[in-house]
Amino acid sequence: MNTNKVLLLLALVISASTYGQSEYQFGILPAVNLNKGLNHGYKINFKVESRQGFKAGLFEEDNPFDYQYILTDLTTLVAKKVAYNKTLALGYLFRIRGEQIVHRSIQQYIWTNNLARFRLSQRIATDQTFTANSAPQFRLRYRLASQIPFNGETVDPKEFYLKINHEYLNQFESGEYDLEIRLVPFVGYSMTDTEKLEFGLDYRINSFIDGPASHRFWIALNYYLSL
Amino acid sequence: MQFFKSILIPVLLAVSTTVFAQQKYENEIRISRDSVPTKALAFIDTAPFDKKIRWYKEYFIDGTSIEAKTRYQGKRYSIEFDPSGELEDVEIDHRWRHAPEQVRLLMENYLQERFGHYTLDKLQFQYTGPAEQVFEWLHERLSAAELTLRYEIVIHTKDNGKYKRYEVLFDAEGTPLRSAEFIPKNLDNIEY
Repeated sequence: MNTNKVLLLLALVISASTYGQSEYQFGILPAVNLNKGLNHGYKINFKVESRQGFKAGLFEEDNPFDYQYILTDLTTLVAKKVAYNKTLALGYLFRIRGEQIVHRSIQQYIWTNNLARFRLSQRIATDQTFTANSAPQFRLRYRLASQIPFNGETVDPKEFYLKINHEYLNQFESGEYDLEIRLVPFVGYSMTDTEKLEFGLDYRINSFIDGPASHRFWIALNYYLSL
Repeated sequence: MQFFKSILIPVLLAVSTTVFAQQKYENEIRISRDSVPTKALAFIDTAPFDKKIRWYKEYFIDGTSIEAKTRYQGKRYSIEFDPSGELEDVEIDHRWRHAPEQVRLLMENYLQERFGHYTLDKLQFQYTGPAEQVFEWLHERLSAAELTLRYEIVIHTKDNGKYKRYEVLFDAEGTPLRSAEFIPKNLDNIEY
């Protein structure tokens, strides 16, 4: 089974949307995430994420492997704990996409629940994206993230876990609306309490409301370090 | 009652200065039946539990324990054993209102005096006693009054500007026995 068929099968399993003429993109999405606690309940989060494509086109086409560096995101968030399990964060993303520079302001509210067998985190976020010669884009996002240990009731050092992110992104640009849905299952490994490594598939679908959907599949590799 | 509170609360707070020095780090792994001490297995296998039993080995700062977790009669049960399989206690999750009102008031007063604003995360009734008596009680052939009852409470609060989580153990009369601050788990990877 070639890569196109695997991706099409995945798209069909994950989404019931029409796939005729649907386009896809497949690549890798490595990210490094650094966190540093500050005084008075503040924390700073710095993330570097790079997108690199391997294949793109329509599902029915036989597209050859074509490595393409796409972009790099540099994100800084300053977070403040406002309650035991609630955090407010403000940040800025600087995106380098070839010659193009993208600026994004970010606002997030995160709350986490310690449930009996797993951890659940919910995030409501808004962001505003500004690019030269393009209309600004505004997004309202909701994300549900769960972390389920493979062993025991909490993720402890030297243990594997499953992390599943599910996110809905409402996008507004020049009076046009689009919805993007993300489903991101990861297998993670906690090396120490401050160091985690995650590997998974970041699946994104959008443009399906009034046309053929656009599917993106990223092999994601995350490294988290808390200083 | 006011006089009672004015005498009792300072006494409880004085006690708390000695009991509030500990930290608690919980690290548990799921284990198979094969890794469970024979004595603990024999106890659980002959107890009246009818749902799946999950076995864990818990690591604390100062030792380990073996724990069996299950649901029984609609409640979560944790049965804790020492590493050799000797029964330590049986803990049952309960709603706050299930604790006797008089004891609940004493515990609330103490927690409020000690922490100010706090939120209750969990209450467990903790039963201890000779293994044979605990066994008979589980089979409803012995009254719970024959066992030692304690209340284990988990709360979160803001203490000196920092958000913290504590476990506090009270006796059946609502007197604090010991407590510990949880060392928090890192959740950066599901927040950012």
